[in-house]
Amino acid sequence: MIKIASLKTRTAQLVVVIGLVMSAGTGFYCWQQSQPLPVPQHLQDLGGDFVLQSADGPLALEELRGKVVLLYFGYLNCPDICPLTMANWADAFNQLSVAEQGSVRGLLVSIDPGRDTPEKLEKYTNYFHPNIIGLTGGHKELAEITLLYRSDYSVERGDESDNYTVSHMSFVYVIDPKGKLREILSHESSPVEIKKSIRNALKVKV
Amino acid sequence: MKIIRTGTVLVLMLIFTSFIQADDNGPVSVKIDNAYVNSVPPGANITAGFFEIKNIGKISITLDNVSSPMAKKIELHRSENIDGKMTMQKITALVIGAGERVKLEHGGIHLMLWGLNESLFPGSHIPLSLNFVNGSVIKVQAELRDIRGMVSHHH
Repeated sequence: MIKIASLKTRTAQLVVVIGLVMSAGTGFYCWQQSQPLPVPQHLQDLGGDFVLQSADGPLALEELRGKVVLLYFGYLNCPDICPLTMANWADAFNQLSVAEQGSVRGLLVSIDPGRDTPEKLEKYTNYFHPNIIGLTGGHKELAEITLLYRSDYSVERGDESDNYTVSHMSFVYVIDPKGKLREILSHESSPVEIKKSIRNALKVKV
Repeated sequence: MKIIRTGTVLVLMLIFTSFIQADDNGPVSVKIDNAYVNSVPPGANITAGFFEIKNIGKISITLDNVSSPMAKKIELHRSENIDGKMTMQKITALVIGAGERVKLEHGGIHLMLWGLNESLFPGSHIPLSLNFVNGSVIKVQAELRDIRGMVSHHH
């Protein structure tokens, strides 16, 4: 009888221990899931605040604290990869919940201020998604901002016509709610990959 | 004499014919698939077009240019990553070897269209003439697609 009783006690103790280990594990897993992935070393010193012109007046990146911001340097007469990037963003935004959409903005910064006015940019970005804002500024400001993000562009004037192209680095910068650059994506990143990066950056609480 | 002369002419004609074939002449044999043009987003003046072309002939062919009554100007361009920057270069001629397939795609070779007719809407068809260096013209209908529908499927 005694032996059976102690066996029962032992079993009960074992169940309790297993239960504790499991709940600690689940707790750790939940905590880990709530944490954003660390910012890679090579991005630590990149990024920063700026102010550019939108159709509604000047917009400072700082005004978007609390939101995840996708940043892209492009231009309207880029026929190939710029609209593809905008379409990918719009698709990713549409896959988010309404609450998440409220905490995400896309910024298309035109590096072709000679042709792209803030008004034209607004029409273009609204066509893709209302959460995308078109911005531009003078070449001096744009050069400073692209340098902050270690991006680059150059206007390729082959002839005197208005049909010039602009060579530009084509990355998507994912900025977290604290204004810190968290990730750099390729313009080929699929909407699913973009959504994953947005959700990761949304884990950063201000 | 007459027989000899006729024979000479025939031989010359045969030589000439084979010469023509070797020099990339005569009608081209191509298969065009998935021809489409992206709609022009507001604010932009240009857009891109794409298709897949397979040379099913036995000789290489050269696409000189593409034209359409629905666009002011069309050029063949190639997007290239040069020193980390995406750059567009105009292609003056596209050579397609015998049996070779060339796919026009985002981030690669594409058609650049200026001044697309504004009455077009997604689903409309745009007639394209593919003009080859040897004088052959291949006509295809490219579908106008809403540019917002294109997304990357790259992983």
